[in-house]
Amino acid sequence: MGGVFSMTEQSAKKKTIKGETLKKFISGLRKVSGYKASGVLTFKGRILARDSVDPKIDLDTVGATFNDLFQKAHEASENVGLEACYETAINTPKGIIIIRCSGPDALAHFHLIVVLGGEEANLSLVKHELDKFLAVVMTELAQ
Amino acid sequence: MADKTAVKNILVVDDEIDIRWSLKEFLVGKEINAQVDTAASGEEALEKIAKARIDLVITDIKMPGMSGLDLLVAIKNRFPYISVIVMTAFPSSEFKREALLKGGMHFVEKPFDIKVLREKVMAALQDSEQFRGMLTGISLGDVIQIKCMSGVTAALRVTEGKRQGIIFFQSGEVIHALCDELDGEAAFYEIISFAHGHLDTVNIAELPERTIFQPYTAMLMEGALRQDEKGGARRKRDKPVAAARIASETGIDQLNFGQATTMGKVAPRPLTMAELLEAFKGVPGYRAAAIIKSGGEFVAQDAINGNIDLILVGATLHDFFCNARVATGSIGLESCHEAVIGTGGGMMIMGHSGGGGETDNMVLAVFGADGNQALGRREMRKVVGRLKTATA
Repeated sequence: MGGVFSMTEQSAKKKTIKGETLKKFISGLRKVSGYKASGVLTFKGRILARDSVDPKIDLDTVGATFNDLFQKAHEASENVGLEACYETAINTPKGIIIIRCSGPDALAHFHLIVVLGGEEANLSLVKHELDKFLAVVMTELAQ
Repeated sequence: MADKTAVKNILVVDDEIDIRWSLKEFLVGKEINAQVDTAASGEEALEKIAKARIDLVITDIKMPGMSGLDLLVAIKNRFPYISVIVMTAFPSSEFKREALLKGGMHFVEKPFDIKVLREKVMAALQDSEQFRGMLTGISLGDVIQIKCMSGVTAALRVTEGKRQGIIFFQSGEVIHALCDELDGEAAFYEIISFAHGHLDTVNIAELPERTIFQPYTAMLMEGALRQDEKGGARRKRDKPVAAARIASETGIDQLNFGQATTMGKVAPRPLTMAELLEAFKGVPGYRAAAIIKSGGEFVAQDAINGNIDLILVGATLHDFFCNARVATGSIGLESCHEAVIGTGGGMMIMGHSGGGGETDNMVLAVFGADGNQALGRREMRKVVGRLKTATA
């Protein structure tokens, strides 16, 4: 993974996330117990970066579906008067999928997806990594 | 109210003369303003207690004739205002449990350091310096809340007829409970199911091992739910009895209360869908809830705020959940059973009862910014579980 990932869908002014930052983010996630896959998508669903340690999980295929799910969650939360949706956690008997939004009004509006599996899945640590990544990206974009 | 400057009367009960003598000579110091009398047996102790005002009894457990535990029971039955310290060389947890359930709250292990015993004596004497009297019309839940909110470290003894339970508090948290053969949370729920009874608080110098880790608010809520369930089942059970009585008195034998009966047993009425949603109302920040069938049809809904368009939100999230189940299944994680949507102004929790067909339902609960996700998810699991039972 390298290069620079464009976030142009959100505004006329081009915003980018450095490839190095993405690398750090994904290598940080890989250390988390139960990690299976992760991806960074524009808010419209275009995949900017993805990683998977499980051959069954191909975010090129399901990434857009999860992104669509988040859009539905966002729509529902606005309809119910609960403001913008920033995170959706989907629990299954074998794992959990976290979808986090950088925020519709952020310098770059993008979505992060992390898939964890097994009983050893460390949800708290993943959330911590997501927080760290968002902070770093926002700092970079603000410069 | 007790006069704190008044001289206290302590009675030491032990069949060993050395112990009686040493305690009579050395127990009282400048911290303890008391007179010490002694008795060589439980029987002698009861005679002395009947004749003189005694504030505290320190008794050995193993004595010929009446044992220390028998003496403890007799004192708690006849002189409940007297504090008791039990001395024992056998501080097993089983013994302590038995002594606690018989009303003893203070223990000292033999051989003991006189300083330790003095500390326990001071703690026990504080029991007799509290308000005493009768307070009626207050629920046990209220008392537990007051104890927790005031941050006490104490034990609350609850007596209903011959049954007795004890709830232990440490710095305002419920840490342990005992009732019959039960310990911990199970004992707590049993105690708060007592319909009526007597309460008394005892200061304790030595706390038991912690077995309860849940917040008291969650446990009181759970206790109330269990009570509701028991009450619902009991009300329904009572009806056929009433029906039989009416039938015998009126000669009408075709009264039908819609009860399924098998071999004389009455099955408890399943909760209605709307009743299932009531459980969410105890969670802070609750706004609305709904049960939606697999086809998107609403079977029950509730909202405390009329501004929420639950039909629109429910339809969107039903779509969300159906797609999520397919997506999670496609990546080998099986179909999802729960989803939590966090937003700037609150959260939405969804649960799925699974099973297909009539049993395939989605439950949605909406909470505001003050919502408690842990409690909300806990209630969701319960509601989904009950929904499975109700629709099975």
